[in-house]
Amino acid sequence: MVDLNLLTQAVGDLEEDKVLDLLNQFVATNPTEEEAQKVVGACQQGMALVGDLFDSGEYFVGDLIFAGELLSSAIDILKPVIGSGNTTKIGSIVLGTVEGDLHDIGKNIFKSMSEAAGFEVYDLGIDVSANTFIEKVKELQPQVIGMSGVLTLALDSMKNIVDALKNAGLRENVKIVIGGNPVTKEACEQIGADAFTTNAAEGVKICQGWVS
Amino acid sequence: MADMKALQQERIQLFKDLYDNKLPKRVPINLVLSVEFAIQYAGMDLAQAQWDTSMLEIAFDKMCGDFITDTNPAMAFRYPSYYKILGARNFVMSSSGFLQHPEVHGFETEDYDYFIQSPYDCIMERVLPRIYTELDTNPVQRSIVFAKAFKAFFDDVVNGNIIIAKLTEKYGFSPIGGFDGFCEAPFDFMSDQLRGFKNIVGDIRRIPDKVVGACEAALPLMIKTGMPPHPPSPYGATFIPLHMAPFLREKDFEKYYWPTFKKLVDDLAASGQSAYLFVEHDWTRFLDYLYELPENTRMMFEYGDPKLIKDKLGKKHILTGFYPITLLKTATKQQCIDKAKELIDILAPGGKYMFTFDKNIITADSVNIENLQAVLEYVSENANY
Amino acid sequence: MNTQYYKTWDEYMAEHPEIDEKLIPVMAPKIQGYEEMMFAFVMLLLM
Repeated sequence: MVDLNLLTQAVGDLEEDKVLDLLNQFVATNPTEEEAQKVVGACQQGMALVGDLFDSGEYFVGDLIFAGELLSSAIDILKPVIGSGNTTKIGSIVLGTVEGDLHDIGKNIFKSMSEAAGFEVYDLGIDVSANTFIEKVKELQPQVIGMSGVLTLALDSMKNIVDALKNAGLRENVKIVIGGNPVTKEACEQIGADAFTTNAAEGVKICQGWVS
Repeated sequence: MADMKALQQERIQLFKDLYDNKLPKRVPINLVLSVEFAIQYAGMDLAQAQWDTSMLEIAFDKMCGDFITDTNPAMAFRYPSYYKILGARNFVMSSSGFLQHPEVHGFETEDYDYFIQSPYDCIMERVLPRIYTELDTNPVQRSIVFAKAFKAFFDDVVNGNIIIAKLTEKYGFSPIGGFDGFCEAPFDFMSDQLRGFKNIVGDIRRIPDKVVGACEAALPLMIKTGMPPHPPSPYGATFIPLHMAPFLREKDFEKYYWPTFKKLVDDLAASGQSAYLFVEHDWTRFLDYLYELPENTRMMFEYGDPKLIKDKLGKKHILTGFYPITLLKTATKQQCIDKAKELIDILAPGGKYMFTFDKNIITADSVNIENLQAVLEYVSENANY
Repeated sequence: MNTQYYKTWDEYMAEHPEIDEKLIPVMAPKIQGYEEMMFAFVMLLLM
């Protein structure tokens, strides 16, 4: 069995070669599903370390993006041994860059970090209309909706989407977080979202708070 | 007409004084409003007017007449025509009629060696056809597509520039004070459409030497791109929007970002051309580096503490920006004016300051127009030395 | 720049010895001007 603390630390330090070596060795030992789940847990804890280092100003957005990549390569290696047994998810998020905006870097960072934290994330992509959000929320009944945007016009789209959710009677059952360069406390209130952030790691923490 | 000539001379003098280290009569205003803002403000269809550029004259004229600024607020150099002809993946019109920039990359890991050896050939042969789908074809078809795109580019840009120059005369704007060139920091150039944000942050961990080599190879291209087509003047400037630095650790910044960026600004300055930096996001960690750039580098700040930045950089460089445009949407008229006053009190003393907002205003509905006009009026009437 | 897709006027002249000297002052700005415009266009496409 792989040294879980060592693995967590290597993920936290973003040492890609070391992480991938450890995981390849682990997979070669034909581990049980239960063991594999522990290893996944250790990787997720490593991602939590990354989040902490980001909060403390040691890491920056570039490191978060790399961490997201590292985690997806780690999961790819582990896939054959994780088994088909569904891992328990802590909650679900419907996510998208709102109508009129095509920027998705921030959204993608948030996506990989919230997946790493154990969320099921349904990514609707970019330029997503209120109707698409409504259809998906009806279908998937997520706990959280994440709306992202970089342009100032995204704020208007966010408001339209929240209003449309209200009109469709879907607003009460879901928490909404907005993220991206233009969001502020005032904008959040005006839009009618529950929370806002310009920081993906903080966004994940907000969502964790909602589902715990 | 004579009045406009006199007004123009007065405005030119403001910027000459600003750049000659003298106290101008008052704080100059260097407002930039996007082509999208102009079209929306004129009540035209956004997509239509970007295609039919003859509509821009009416849109720009209305904008120039309604907002007080010392330089022409109209700016346009991206048009959908040539991006569409080329099958662009990097600039695409969204459902709202905005030409936007999705994250794409046209440069693979295996291209580094060729790029380092011959960057322009690598761009022409490998990168362009990956980003511009209509170029990914046989050589004959490709040359036809390229010819059409260049003609479209030339027509739209020339038409836009003629309109803008006409309005500069009509409204007595200063032709100096803005910028007359455009390029990027070499690391930003590599990170943007070549490797993409996601790939470059992996590359600096996996193949650091190649990233350094590529930035060095990109440097001469950026210097050449940044030089204006006419002889440089101390009153002109090359616009360089800075992108990646705030997302990097300082040691990565020091290794990958700073050396070729510094060299770019130094070399442009040595040829007589200043840089007009859009200091995007929060550069508080890097103020000491910015101090090192050649004197009178123009720096438009998006975030950061204006007082700290004035103290650190304000005696050497020319500062602008800081005013959060989101306030123009959410605050009252008086609050908006108070904010302008607060910033002018901090930034104007001693000169080396011009007024603009923290970013370009890209849509008419992202601000309260009356607030915007009130702020500009306040600055033009009250920011006297 | 070590490239086959951009030429300075001197490089162009070296390949075209047939050019009449008296035409150089009128040809050079024109041909070099298009060369520069094409370079600027290509770079804009990646910025």
